[in-house]
Amino acid sequence: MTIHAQPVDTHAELEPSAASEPSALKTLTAPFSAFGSDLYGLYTLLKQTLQAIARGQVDRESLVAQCYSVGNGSVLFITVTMTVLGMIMVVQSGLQTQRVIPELSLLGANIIQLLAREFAPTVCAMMLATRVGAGIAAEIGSMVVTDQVDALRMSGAQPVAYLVVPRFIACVVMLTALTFWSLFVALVAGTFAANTVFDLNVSTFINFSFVGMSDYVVMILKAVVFGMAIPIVSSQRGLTTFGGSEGVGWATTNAVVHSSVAILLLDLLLSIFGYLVFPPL
Amino acid sequence: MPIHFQNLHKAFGDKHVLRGVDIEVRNGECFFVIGASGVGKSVLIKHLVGLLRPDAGDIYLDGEEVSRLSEKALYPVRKKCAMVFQNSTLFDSMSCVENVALPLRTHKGLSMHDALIEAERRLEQVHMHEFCKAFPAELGDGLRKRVAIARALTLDPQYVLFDEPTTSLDPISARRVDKLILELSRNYGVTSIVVSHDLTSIFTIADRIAMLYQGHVRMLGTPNQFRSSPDPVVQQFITGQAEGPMEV
Amino acid sequence: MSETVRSETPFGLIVPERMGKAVLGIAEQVGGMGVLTGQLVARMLPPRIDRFELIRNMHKMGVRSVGIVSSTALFTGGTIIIQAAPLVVRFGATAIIGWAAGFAMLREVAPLLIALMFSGRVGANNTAELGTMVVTDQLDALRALAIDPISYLILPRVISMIVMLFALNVIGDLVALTGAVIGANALLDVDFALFMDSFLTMLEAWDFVLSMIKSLAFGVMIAITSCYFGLTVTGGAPGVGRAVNSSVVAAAIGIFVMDYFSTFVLK
Repeated sequence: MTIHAQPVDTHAELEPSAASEPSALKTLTAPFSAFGSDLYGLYTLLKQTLQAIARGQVDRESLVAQCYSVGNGSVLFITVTMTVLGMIMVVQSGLQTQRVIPELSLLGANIIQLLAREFAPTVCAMMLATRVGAGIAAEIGSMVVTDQVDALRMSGAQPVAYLVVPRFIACVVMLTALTFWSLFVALVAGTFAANTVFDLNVSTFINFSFVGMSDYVVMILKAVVFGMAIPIVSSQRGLTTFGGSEGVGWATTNAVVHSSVAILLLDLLLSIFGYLVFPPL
Repeated sequence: MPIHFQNLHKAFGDKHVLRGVDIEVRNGECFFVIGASGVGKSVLIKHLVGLLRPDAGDIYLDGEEVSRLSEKALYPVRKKCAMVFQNSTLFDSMSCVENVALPLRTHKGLSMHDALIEAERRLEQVHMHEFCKAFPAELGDGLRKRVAIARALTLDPQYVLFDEPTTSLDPISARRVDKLILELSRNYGVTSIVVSHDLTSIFTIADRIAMLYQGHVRMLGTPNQFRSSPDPVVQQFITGQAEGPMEV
Repeated sequence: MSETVRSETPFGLIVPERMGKAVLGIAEQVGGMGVLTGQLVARMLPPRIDRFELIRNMHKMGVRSVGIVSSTALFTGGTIIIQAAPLVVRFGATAIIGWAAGFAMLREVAPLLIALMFSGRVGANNTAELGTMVVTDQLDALRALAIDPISYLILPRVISMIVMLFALNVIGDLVALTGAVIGANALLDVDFALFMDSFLTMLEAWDFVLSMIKSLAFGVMIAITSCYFGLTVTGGAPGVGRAVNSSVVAAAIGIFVMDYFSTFVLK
């Protein structure tokens, strides 16, 4: 089992490196080949993680600790952001609708569907990517540059099973749970905003008529996929850290950014999938 | 006495690192502060340039009390008393030559272009010219140390503080650094305070030595005085024994 | 900070104690950021900036974020169309899809998402760099060279972040618009002319200005939080990791709160 890690070589004295012949083809295809090998690395890590889970190599203690850190650690943050988001959504959508039609009776119904299909899983995942992704990459990255991962291998433990699997499971489970929580929080906040800003009463706003089983399916699907993407991307960045403390900094940044972009891309793909497979009512 | 630490006390939380340290350093000498790891040697010299403030006691540099000066008032002090940090502490976002050029630009008002030329010259003096464009992360400890020393010397200071200059260097690099420190003292009259536990350095280039132990100066004297000292703690340290009366 | 032996808190007081500590912690951070802002403002009048640091940072923060911001904006443009599609189909409002997408995009989604991406890309990296400099004594080395870290190191970064986020917001708006046009064409058979018709006629200049104001405010928020958490790192390499985490979370919360207030204040 190999992990794509660059050798940590901060003590090497400077040597003139043998320059390979630069060719136009190489330069042009370089970004694509880099991206391709990156994707392959991610795919390999995902495969290894799933294999480890299938073999039952799950460290229970570590898993519980990670669930706590990912879940409980993020709950307050998610609550605050989703409350604000819920209110903003209602106000902005309300203002927008008012410019076209004076009637806001379907505002709640539309917003709830939007929340379920789109905003709850995506924003929750983006927030988690920033909070948890950075942490995962930093933790694993520091371990790599201080040779702790090598020490792990020496003592017979598998880095993927030991480091990645608990975080993977924790993220998938916790993100799904947090997505439901976000939906709830945003709903409550939105109802409050609708009431205070547009004088919409609660029963008019809370209208689930546009939300069906298919919307929940899309929501859960997104939550699960995002929950897998974040730890895989972040762990991959952590495991391929090199260059000392600055390298850890880069790993952390890249973990957050690449997780976020992955989430947005997956969101687009899953949204298209949802739109085509479960056409909205 | 150009440098005088008077009854210095410093604690971190409930760890009393310095409990009344008295040290005087003479002009132009190569003064070593030695002791076991964690005894407070680095803490001591950082006080001289105001990177740490004492809980009690006074510090005199050239007759001026420096431990209670504001950040701004410390600038002239820091220009005449330079410091070479333990991990070389170069700015890793800049190349070596840019590192050395920085104080030249900021304090001598040189343009970027002139500063780089002057910096290259100074790197040549420490035999680092070929690594001008390299970045600190690409270099080994020995090379980084030389760049750090070049940078510290850019403002032609009268005093230089070295925090464990030879720790983590290979023996040859270590001896080269020793030679550099000695040259500074003999040829340029620079007063150096060197924090070290490198016994070879200590007995090769030190003029006088102060040994710190449990927050006090255990002994102060010349290398010969240390070698012939009857104190078992001193003997244990300078002969490098694992067993002995020293509590670390 | 050493912990002396603590007496057991009575069970009923554990939650209030934790809340109290959390509030004090947040107050300390907010206060610290305020102090940093004051120090920065003081060093701006008269402005003393190291040109090279400023340019280096602008390049690093701007140029290297364009790719990320562009892809974000593109995906977002497409996603907005997909989410607006059911409403459009429901109300038969294809004629105004340009405006509908544009309104949400300019006023809300683009500044918010771009700021969040920027915070994750540039803010986090900045905190990590500054934090690493703190723990490797580079900040002390600057002070030992009699150079003021705030003027030399921090001020160029803050200015670069604010300027670059503003520029990226403009670019992002354009790219998101492109994504939306493509999405509308592909999914709803709305052609470019129809899309732009409602976009240009029904949107007000104020919507665009609002987007810019928001990005400036977010820029300030991200710059201050990321520098503050970088400067106050303790505890070695793991401390840097924690600081990065805290800085990104704090920036995100700050962005959302600012967004909330601006939504109500700047209708």
